[in-house]
Amino acid sequence: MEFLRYVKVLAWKDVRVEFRSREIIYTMSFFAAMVVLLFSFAFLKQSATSNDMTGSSEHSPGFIWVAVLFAGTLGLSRAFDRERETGTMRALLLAPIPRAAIFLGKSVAIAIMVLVVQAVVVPLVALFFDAPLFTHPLALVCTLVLGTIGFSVVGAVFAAMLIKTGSRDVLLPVVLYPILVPLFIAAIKATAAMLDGALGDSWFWIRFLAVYDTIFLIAALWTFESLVIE
Amino acid sequence: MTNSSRSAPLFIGAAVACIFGFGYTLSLIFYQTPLSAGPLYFNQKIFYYHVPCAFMLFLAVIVCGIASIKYLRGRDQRWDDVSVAAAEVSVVFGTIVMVTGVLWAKPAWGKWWVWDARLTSALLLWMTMIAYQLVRKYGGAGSERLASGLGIFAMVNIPLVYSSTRLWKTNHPSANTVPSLDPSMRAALWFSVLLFTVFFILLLRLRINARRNERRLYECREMALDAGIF
Amino acid sequence: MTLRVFPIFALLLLVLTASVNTASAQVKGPAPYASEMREQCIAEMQKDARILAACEESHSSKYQVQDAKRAVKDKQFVVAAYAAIWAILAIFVVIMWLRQRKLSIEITRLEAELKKAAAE
Repeated sequence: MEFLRYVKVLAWKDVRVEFRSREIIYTMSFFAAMVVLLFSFAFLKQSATSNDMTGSSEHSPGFIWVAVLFAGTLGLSRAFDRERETGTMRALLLAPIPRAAIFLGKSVAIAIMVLVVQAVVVPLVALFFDAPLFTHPLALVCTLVLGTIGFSVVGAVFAAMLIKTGSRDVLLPVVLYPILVPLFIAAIKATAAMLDGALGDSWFWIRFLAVYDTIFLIAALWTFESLVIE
Repeated sequence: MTNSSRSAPLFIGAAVACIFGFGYTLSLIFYQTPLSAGPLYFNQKIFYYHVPCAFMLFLAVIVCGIASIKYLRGRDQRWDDVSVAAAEVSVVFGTIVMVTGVLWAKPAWGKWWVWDARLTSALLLWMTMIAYQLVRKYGGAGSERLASGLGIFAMVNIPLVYSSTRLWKTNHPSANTVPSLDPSMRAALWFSVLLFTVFFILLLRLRINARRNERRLYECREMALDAGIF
Repeated sequence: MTLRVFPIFALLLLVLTASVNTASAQVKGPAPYASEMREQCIAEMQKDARILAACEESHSSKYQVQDAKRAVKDKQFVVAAYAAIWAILAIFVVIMWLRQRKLSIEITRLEAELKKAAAE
């Protein structure tokens, strides 16, 4: 219980700092929206019957998750940069709280930011590509939340390790994306199955996401202590 | 160093055995295994080196992961040497797997690349190990912690990547590549696997020695600086 | 010294691979299935001119040429694959050997200088 209180306090600290300036959320959301826009320029097709450009919803799961992944990486490096600039990370590591609590607090804060970005991206994709994303709200929410948890858990570990490295902005996606591929496949498949109305498949992939999250949460909690030492 | 010089005869013996063994596998592969067991063409001959190299790729990643865990536990530099060596050897075997795989896919399936689960997961693993090399090279101080984190996560990721890519492929026709093998073919394959395992250990050993020498050179330089030689 | 031998040996293996006999690529069919029905079937089929023509055609040189072409093309791919394996391994071993040599030269030089400095 004490542990969860620490996690809550740490996450709340990050969220409060963020909502004062709203720097990360604004930039991330703008970037994600811009990625979706660029995708629409790349993938829109001239419709056969009229002269209009129409969006097809078949690629929309990919658009959502690529935009979220890119924007999330941006947010991750910025969130940890902020800790480094003000020296908060050192203070946190010196504080008499378990390292795992620091890690979880940070992950929760990042997950909240990513969820805010998704709240912008998903309606935008639904609007631009005419995708029936909101027909199964429960499956959609589960996919988004579980995908976000996995991303923020793995992302927080690597971003925390890279905090003192000079070339962290380049190295973060290099180390993060190969590890995130199963998550990415599962999230895209779950969303695509949902769009096709195949709810059974969708729930299967949502369970896969849950397994991925559990495995990496355990691995992260287990290794974080020895990975991040100052 | 004393350790390596003591086992030098064993090392040289194994290397010589490897060289003759490779010659013998060529005779096994090209003159003693039939193609008549199934609808097989001459391109199937690539199988006998391609599959053992793929095994070695996975073995190297697992060795790297275990050495990384050991390193994080005890901070023993020797385990770090092992994980560096295993990662580098895994990239070499991964390159072989990719090149031979592409050269086999073209005559067998008519395409240079097929998004089969096995191919995709091997590709991802190879990419992860290349990311490991990048981290080692450009990570700067403290990169060994980051790299060992990546090594552990890559090992944990193997089953997830494989299952996700296999399930991802379910609604496509799968190219079943493993035919029912003739006993002599199986013997040739396992002999080849054994030989590549010995060769893998030799390469690993060599790379570990090189790594130790690198560290020794660094120590010598420090001592030289202290003595005011530079 | 084994390291120095390996690239030479890899080259040798390369030549060996390139000279392999494609004769082993010939596909043997299964042994004929002996039965009275079989004889009867063959007799029935031989009455049909179209089937006979198709059989004639399948034995024609066209298919043999096709198979031979495939075998030759396959051989090129197999040789390329084996060449790639030996080349990659040889390059890795040579690079490692060069690196190792550079390191040991530097170490012996430094150690000698350190010893000299200690003696003075």
